[in-house]
Amino acid sequence: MPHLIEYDIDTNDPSFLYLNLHDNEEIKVVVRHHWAGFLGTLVIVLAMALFPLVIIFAVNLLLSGDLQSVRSLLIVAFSGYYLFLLTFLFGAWINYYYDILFITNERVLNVSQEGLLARKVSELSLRQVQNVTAQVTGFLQTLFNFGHLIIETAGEGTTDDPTRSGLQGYFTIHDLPEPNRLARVILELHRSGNANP
Amino acid sequence: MLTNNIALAGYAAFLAVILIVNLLYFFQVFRYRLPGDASIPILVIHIALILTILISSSILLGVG
Repeated sequence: MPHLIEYDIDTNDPSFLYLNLHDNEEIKVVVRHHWAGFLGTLVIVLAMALFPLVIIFAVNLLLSGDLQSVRSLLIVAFSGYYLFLLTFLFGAWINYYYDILFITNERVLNVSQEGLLARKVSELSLRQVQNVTAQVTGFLQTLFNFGHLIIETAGEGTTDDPTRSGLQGYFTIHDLPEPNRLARVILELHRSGNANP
Repeated sequence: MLTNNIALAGYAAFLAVILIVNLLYFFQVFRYRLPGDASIPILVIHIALILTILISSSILLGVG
């Protein structure tokens, strides 16, 4: 699975410095969000890319086929529009692709990219894990096997779901590939951590 | 003539903003990419598309 990356990671690589890994901490799994979670944005951008064709058609009708008189204006407007669209798409892709979940032998680290130069790293000790729920709902999620992972913790969580209030915290991560497998990995690491404190 | 100059100045300012935003995105990619991920290929495709639009629009304007 290209989006569920598991390999021997060199934790000394400068790319991982911001995670502040402990001395004996090993990254077990690196997961990015499933590509199907990006489909909505992609469809919207593709639809927006076709919009200039409608404008050309309308202007052509208004000017009775005499597009030459506004040619320069149309070229400048459309090139500006497509530059904006490409920049928007690239920003959306960065927001999608740089949301990463790291599962180490000690913690779950959820890195959330929140726009231009804004990044949030939430972490949860595996010792605090009480229950892990994998939630797959809807046609697309069932077809491509992705969904939400909800980790119930003994402390505060990060969820904004009002239906999950109370003393427990809920650490919710959306659009993850193979959530059932990830839930099992987290629980197994939690158990092995408790067995070997 | 004055209208053309104002339009060109507006377009130049817009291009400058797009350039700055893209440079910030590039910085972000190089800062946070992981070894072996898809960041660089996607970045190259993005730059190629941006350059295609800029060059083709310049050529079209020059021809007109």
